[in-house]
Amino acid sequence: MEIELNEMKKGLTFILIKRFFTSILLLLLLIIFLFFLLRISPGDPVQKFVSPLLSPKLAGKVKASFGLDKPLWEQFFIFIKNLVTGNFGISYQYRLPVLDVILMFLPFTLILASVSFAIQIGTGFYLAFVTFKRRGGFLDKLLSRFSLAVYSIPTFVLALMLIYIFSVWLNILPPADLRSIEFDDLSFFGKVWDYLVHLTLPVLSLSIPGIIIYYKYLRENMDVENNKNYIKYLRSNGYDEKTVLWKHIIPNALDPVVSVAGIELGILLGGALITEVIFNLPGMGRLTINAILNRDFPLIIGCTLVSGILIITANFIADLVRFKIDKRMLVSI
Amino acid sequence: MKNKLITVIIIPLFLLFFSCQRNTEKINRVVIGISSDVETLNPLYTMNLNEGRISELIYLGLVGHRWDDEEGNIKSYPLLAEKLKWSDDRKSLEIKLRDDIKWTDGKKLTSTDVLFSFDVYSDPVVQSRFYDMFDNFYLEENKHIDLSKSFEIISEDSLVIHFANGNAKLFDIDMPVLPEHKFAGIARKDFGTSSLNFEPVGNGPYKLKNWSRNEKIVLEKNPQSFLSSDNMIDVLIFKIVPDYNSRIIQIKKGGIDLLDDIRPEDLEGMKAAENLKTVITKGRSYDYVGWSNIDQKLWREKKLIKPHKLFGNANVRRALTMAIDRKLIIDEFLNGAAEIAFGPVSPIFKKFINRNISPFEYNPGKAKSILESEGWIDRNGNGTVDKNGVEFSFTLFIPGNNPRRQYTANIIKENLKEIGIEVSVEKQEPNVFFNNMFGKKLEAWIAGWVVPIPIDLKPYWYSDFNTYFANSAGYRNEKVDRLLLELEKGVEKEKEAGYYYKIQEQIHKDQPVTFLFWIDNISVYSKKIKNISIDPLGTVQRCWEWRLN
Amino acid sequence: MKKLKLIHIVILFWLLILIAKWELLYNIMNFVLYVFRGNVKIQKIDIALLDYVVATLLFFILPFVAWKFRKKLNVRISGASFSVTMFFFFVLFAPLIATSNPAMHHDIKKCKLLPPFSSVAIEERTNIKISNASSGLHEFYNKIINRGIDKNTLYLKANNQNNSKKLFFLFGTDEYGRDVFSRILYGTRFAFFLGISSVIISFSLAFLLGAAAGFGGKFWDNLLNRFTEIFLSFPFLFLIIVFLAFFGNSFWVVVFVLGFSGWMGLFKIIRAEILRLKSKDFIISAKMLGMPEYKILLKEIFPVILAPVTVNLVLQFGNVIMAESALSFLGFGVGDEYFSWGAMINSGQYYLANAWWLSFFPSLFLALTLITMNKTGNELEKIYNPGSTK
Repeated sequence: MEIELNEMKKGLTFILIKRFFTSILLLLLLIIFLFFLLRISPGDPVQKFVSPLLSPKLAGKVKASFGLDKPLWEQFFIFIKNLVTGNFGISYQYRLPVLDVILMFLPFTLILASVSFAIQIGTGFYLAFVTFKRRGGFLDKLLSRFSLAVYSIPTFVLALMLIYIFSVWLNILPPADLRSIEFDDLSFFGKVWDYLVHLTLPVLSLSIPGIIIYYKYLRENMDVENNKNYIKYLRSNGYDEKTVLWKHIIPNALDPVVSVAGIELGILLGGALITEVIFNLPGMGRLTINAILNRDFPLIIGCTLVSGILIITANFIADLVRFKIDKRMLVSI
Repeated sequence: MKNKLITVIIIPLFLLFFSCQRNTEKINRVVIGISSDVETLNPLYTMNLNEGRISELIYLGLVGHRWDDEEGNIKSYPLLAEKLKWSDDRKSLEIKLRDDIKWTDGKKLTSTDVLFSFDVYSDPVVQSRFYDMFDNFYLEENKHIDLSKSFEIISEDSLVIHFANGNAKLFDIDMPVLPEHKFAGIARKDFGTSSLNFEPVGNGPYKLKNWSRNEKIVLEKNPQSFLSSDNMIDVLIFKIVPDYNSRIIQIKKGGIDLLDDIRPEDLEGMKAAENLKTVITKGRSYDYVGWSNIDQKLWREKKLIKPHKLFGNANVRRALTMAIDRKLIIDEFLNGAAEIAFGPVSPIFKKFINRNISPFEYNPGKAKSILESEGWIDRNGNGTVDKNGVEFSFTLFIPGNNPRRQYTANIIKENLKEIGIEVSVEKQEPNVFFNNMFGKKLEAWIAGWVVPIPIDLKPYWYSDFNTYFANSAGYRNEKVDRLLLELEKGVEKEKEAGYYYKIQEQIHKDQPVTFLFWIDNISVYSKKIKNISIDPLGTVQRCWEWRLN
Repeated sequence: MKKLKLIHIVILFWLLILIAKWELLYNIMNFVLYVFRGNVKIQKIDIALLDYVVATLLFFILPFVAWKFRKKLNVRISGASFSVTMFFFFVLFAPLIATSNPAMHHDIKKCKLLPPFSSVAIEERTNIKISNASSGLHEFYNKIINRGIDKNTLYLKANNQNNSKKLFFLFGTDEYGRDVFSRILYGTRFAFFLGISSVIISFSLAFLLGAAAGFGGKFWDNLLNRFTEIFLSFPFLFLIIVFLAFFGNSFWVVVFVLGFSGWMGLFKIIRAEILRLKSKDFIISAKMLGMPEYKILLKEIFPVILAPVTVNLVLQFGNVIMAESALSFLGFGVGDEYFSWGAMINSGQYYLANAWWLSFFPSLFLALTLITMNKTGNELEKIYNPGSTK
């Protein structure tokens, strides 16, 4: 029995690793596709050097220094060579190496994503447990009635609702920005408070849909498990409710929730674009959009690669967690 | 239950407590709202308006400029230079630098810094924004200034510049001076990505305090500067607010103290605000409808010139102008804050604008009859006029995300429908749009130009399309060409206006494009700022003279 | 309320339009007769006019259709079916319901940012005529169509009692004096067509790939499966934005891009169905009879698959509408000429403090649509898979 399990584990690790690497391979293919898409797209990365106020020769010179005057295959060859050596080039608009630019914006996205993720998971699970324990109670009825409606509302509508209530109507929270303009003059606690006040609405509007998703998934799966015969059997055999809940219902209900969590975390890490735009926050999402609008080719590719890696990692972690929770997963892969 | 009660009470209390605890201590500072972050503060590469505005407070040039409202032109005055002396043939200029100028790192600014600046500005490897703009200097083959011929260093604080011809103006030496000792260790091809783009060492009245990307740029006063005084503004914050309407909300609430580019629809709201002062200056940017005068496909493919099948005829273009109700757009959309345009000379150039010309009145009846006399008649009864089997229908291109141009396009579409011309409007992403416009791929479009100071019409109307790509309409007129060339060579000051008058007359007659309107510049600032001068050169240009009350 | 049936709602909406717009309907029918009698030669089809005519004809056909399906419509009204009916009316009869041209900038100074339920007095002038009108056609044209710019209408100050004619703005006006209600109305239509078209694309793609996986053998099955798994976890938002930003954001580009990014869920279901069906007797016997594979797919498998896939199609329809409004909200959608709700919400967000109705009403309709779609999806799921609790 022991040996069998070990072998299964080995096989599983192999599958997971294989899966991880195929994802990376696909990401690389995507990047290459993106490379060509950018090169054949209409528009001009050196557009701003084309102006009657500047020398007509300047744009050509700049283009040459970006290496965009070379034939496509040569550009591609250089690109691949640089990619292998980990050199993503220099951002056209920031005049800095792409990785430096990304490192300026990534920490904020990581923090925002992990805070919202924690809130989503915590609150979602809490709501699911509470309503499961008091089935048919007020909260349960309320949530089961309105969860679909809340789940259907798009993030930007939700964010605008929050801004209207808290910034326009009650006027207690700022409607945008990461911190106030007098931030540098504040004391340490003042600074912490300033961040807190500014980030409450963004975190709320990022978290609410996620909370509902986890609540719905977990609650529905718990119900499904609860109606299964073996649970009834355990109950009738006198196992106490706690054991039934924690040892049997929850582990079994958790499995699909974890893979959903992997996808959700991936999306958060890729940059909560709409939230960043509405609340004027400096994150990866807006960085990518600006790179696209300015046709900053190296930065577009860098951003895609970094968020792609984050997403793949998130899904990989989700797989690992599922594997930890339920060892029978081998069958489902 | 008790726990819940406590949280319910305590959280709002906390909120109240902290929201009252705002730091109310008065700091001597001004917040200026800008729409996008700047890329660099290095004057070599400051392309856009905001970059220029900020970097010119950090780096000064040899001369500064003031707007002379009566003349309608700029006047230069010495800034880093103490004395400027032209030779009799105006071919050399002797410059004596002030001796009290230090870089912010403590080094003294010397004439070698000036020499170095001209050296790198004109160096093709550096790719600065002034590259290939030194036509009045002695040049090497690659447009780099021939330093040994052009400059003669006399001492640490004086030098002589020798020009290649007698046309040089003070504007030719209007570049911010750079610190040679800071750039010395960097290879020239790496200037574009060096840290000096973000950590400027300047000589101006302000220096960079900190720069939070996509958030704000904070300048503080440079006490070493000869321009600084005790009661000037200590801190200038350029706050980046990408969204126009958020900027409007913030200036009303006091989060921003100065804001440019207010849209006309907000004019009344701004005037009503008690703490704000609104300044309207005549604009130097205009919108126009471009008609392709030449057959663009033929030109693109074979470089041949043939009139365009629809817009190749000046009479037709005049009819088009008459059919467009420009006043309606100004009254309705621009709230009256614009002036109908009739030519490429902005009303701010009071001496050059030819007020004898009166713009074409809106007159669809006359437009219709002109079209008829040109042979454009609805022969097949489909509601659209035609000639030799060609229907008068075309696509009007506009750059995306611009409500004013969208509105204008809608009006034009309806206006032209009335005289039997079928227009379909198509939006293009701005980058793609301008690429197509410069590449002569659009037959009709709406765009705008900002007229440079000092005025220069040659890039927009000269008939050599290969070099002057900004002549997207493909306008060709020998008389205008001749006048533009002579203006470039330099004419006597008294006769200058006459040249511009004649150019405007000819362009008005030919109507290569339909000039729509000059849009007023509306700026708003908080009443606490005193001694502020706003003119066509901008709002922040002389901010060391500002005071707070 | 309990006795309210779906058919009652349909009749109610129909009568409402009839009462409110009888004059317009009369004019259009008159025009149809006029053309029918051959009084005028139509040289070129005017799309705007055609829109009105088709809507009117459908309007008068509707009662007969309703009579035919009276049994099916005789069900209790629910929230979802009520809003589906409402959207159905909006989509079909947008030109009849609209109070003004959605793209029209009314006299901006007088009409901008008016709150809901406000109205302005108008005076009709008839002295200005379209100069190129050559036939009696333009008489009708003027009577029927809400024009983009209307020089025959003079806008007077609000609440001018002397004028009998008034222009009513149910949901107020936006910053350019455009009627929010009419814009939402046409927005419904736009959302509907966009959703339908890109769902069709997704479905065709999923069906083709599903068939390839189901019939193509182990290798293709594995490959496509692997592909889908990875596609499912990948953020296509940025790729979509790159595409729209660079290759223009016309209606069809948006439809294709959204269609191509939404096939994965459908593919999974179709593949599973095909694999299940493959071992069924009727397929095996069809194969034995020598039916070619594509015929089996189209004739035997396609109709069977449609039922279980419907749920996902409905959900996908909602997703596409949401994705489009999110893109429009960011400024990458189809832009002004198509009245997207997302674009309306976006431009309204700046007026949140002084004109809440600009983004409130489009948000309301968007949320309502999405809730309806999700609810309908859930209800269909219950019908098709009664065993599952989802």
